[in-house]
Amino acid sequence: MKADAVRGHLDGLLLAVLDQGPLHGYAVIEALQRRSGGELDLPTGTVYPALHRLERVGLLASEWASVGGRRRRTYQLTDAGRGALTGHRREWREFTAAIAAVLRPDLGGADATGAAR
Amino acid sequence: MTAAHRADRCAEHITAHLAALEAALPGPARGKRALLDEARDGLDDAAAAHRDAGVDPVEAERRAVLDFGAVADVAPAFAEEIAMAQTRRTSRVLCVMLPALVLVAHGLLLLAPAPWQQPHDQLVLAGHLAGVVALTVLTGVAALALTSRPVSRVPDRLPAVVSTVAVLAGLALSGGVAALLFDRPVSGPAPAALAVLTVVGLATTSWSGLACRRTAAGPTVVTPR
Repeated sequence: MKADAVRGHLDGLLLAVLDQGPLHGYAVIEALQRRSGGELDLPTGTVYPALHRLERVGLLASEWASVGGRRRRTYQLTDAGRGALTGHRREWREFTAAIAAVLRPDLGGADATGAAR
Repeated sequence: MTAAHRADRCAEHITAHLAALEAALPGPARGKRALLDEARDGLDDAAAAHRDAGVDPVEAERRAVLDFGAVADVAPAFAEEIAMAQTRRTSRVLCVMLPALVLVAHGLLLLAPAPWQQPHDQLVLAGHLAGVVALTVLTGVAALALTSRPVSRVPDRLPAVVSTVAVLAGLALSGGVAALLFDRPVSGPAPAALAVLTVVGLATTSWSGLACRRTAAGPTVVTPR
């Protein structure tokens, strides 16, 4: 998946990855790649400023922790972050449902909304 | 090639990439440090992961840098976050440093003999200072609010506005406090302390405001793909 397509959803992806528990920056990148099956073609360097931005707006909290014998800044969701993730998931479901309804080949040129009624 | 030579080449590859990124980013080094240190850790981790997968150490570093992204691709996101962080730092100076300076100056005037008999122009000046303080606090609070809301888009000109207010307010308040101080001498060590505080306040506010303006300029060497 191209970076431009991913960029608009980066916040939701980062929040979803951190929904499993606190992670440091590179662990976030690893989790993104693992959960996407390596399909997300995103410059990993863009993840660090995005994490700082999400912390600035209160969706993440960070603290320094020792990971593998090194001090790392680890991030975790705040309550506001969990709420934002719920919103991202709802918007994504609505978005994919609408696109899927239009792209369905069996409807041809028919009105998907009308056909569903 | 020896292991030491390989290690040197690896370090050079990542260090050169981060140096190029740092050079492209505007603003003081201290403001960039946290983000760049974190990026360095990530690059080292990525290279280690490639090495663990059996990749040659030099190639592992090259792949880590490739995965990280070209300076032109990642610098805008770094620059924007650095500008926001500096804008918030300067806003906190506006909210705390300058009001504290004026409060101390007004408090000092109360120590003067018969403070209720101050000349009219002193009272007018004190009123103007209070107005400038109100404007700076309002600007600082508004900037902090705008940069901490997840849903609102931060205006592009916000760092420049905060910077301008910081520099002008720093000059105005420092000049005003100095005028109050010299027009209404107070005995004891307090005037000297206020003079030092005024210089520190002006220096801090001006430096922070100018740093804010520099970060607002955006990345400098980014070229479109």
